[in-house]
Amino acid sequence: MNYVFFSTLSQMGFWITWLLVPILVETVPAISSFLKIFFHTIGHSKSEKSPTFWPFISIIIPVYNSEDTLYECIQSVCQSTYPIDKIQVIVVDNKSKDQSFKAFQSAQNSFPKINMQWMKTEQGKARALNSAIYNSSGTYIINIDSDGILEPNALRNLIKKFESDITISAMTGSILTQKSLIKRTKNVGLKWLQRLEYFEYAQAFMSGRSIESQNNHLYTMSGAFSGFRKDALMKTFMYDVSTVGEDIDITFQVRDKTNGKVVLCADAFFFVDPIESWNKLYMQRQRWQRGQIEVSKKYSGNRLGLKSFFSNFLVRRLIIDHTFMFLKTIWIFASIALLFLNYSPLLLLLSYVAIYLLYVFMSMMVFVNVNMMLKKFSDERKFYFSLFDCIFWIPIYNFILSWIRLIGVINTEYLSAKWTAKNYHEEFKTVGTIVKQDFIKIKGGRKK
Amino acid sequence: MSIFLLISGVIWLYALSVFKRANLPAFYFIVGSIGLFFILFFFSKPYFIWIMARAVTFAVSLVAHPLNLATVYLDYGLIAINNGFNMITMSIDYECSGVIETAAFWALLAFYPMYQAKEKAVLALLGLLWMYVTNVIRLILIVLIVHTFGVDYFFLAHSIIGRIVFYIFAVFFYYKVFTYGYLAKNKKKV
Repeated sequence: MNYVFFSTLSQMGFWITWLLVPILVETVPAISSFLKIFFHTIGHSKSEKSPTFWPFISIIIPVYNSEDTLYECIQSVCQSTYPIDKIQVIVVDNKSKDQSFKAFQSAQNSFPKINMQWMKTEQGKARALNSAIYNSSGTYIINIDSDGILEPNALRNLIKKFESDITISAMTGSILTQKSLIKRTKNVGLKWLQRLEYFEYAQAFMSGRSIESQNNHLYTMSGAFSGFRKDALMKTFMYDVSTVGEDIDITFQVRDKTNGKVVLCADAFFFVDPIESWNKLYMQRQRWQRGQIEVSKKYSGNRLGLKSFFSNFLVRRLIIDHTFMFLKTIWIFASIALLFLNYSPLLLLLSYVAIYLLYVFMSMMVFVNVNMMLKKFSDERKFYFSLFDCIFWIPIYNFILSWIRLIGVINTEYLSAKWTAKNYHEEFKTVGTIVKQDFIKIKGGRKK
Repeated sequence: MSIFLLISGVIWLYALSVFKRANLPAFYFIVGSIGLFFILFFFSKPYFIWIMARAVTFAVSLVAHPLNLATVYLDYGLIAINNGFNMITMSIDYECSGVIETAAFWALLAFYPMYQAKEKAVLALLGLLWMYVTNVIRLILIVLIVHTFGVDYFFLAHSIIGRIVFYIFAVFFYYKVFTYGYLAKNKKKV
């Protein structure tokens, strides 16, 4: 039996190569993360104690053409379980061209008890946030996007965690998409995408960032919902207005300048709108990739050399997020070349199936973790559980995303000065026009 | 060259021209790299593979012979590893030649927008050398393990440890060229 097993493996020869890379880089860390979260969640079943005194907090909501969503966003703050007299809301408009102010006024009328103010700034989210931070008076500063809603206990949970550990300088909440909107989506393809997006967010925040957070290696706080100690924030250069990755940048700044922790508050939820189309996803992920590159550039130089592999988590992160992208891209096609060297197509196919199953296995582990972490949130847990089939789809979804990210990397290098990445409809259209023109030229040439 | 290859080549060149004119650098890079990889691969078959396999075998023989770890048959690309009692023969073929890995690296580098032509030429040479040396280290490691622990360890040495070592070296080189080189170079632009 032993002989049969090993001789079969030997026959597979080159095949095992394709499995080694994902096993080494992804499966081993995934198993380790699974165990860490598993035991951490079991060990921390009792929650932190509520503070005897709830501090004054400032909530900043940057607004840009948000008339459709702003009211609901403010409403979610007002319906929060955090003492309302301890909340200051600063809505900061950065050159909206719609009726956002009317939505603000309407919220003011509906919720007169809350301390709410409207500010105007130059265009750009980072500028808006910086101006509002200077005008805030809370001990803690919390940013939320105007197109999302807070879970009622999110603010309490966030502040509770801050108050229980003075070494925490900043925190990110967990972002999920609004399940009610996903349920309402009629288009089958879009619904598939939105379910996967929810699944992805749950995995990324509750598993991915949770692990990063345990080691104080959080790569980025969410731009949609994050909180800071005001004194920690004041030690930084504030939000960088020159990058699209201002959320990544502030994460690094806070950690570097305060020597404090930047962590995830897994039970503070903020619900954003699900993605509206594949085109939006295509643009969004390229923008995220660009942000990562821009911030990494800023922190590059001697700090990112290979000699810092063990001491600097950013190096390891870049290897996985950036370097592997190139390796994976070319090896997908390099494996096809094996067929021309009389390699068995069946074995090649088997290798892809095995890799796929490996990713399914990893996604299954995360699924278990997230279910454990959602214990106190029965509605979300129930919905997440209904996404069970995503375990089998997520490897395909991630595969598609990896191509979009690669496109983002190359586009950033070429177009960084004038970032005008087109959506894929426009790209197809441009290609179509050129091919059509060429065809007309050839046809015309022949006629002559 | 088969007609199939010729037609594919023409289509590839036309696609590149379209992406260039459409100002779509990402697609230019992706389609360019993949196409060039196949071109390099088909041109390397069988001669470049043969040369590289012999070159690798030769380098291994320089270590294996004096230390009496294995008998290397240069003409046949064979390495017979012994551990006193048993012997196993390892054939240096396309898998061990490092040609596929080198072609993959060259293809990506050629279309990577970051470097100038001169820099690319230097990096291409460095890449060839790096893959070659890494491959030699991998094979010497296999020889050492099998010689010391016996032929039962061949699978572990060849398919697991050898490959892990090779990929760690390859990843480091890719990081240096595609990630670090690019970030460090662009730092001043930010």
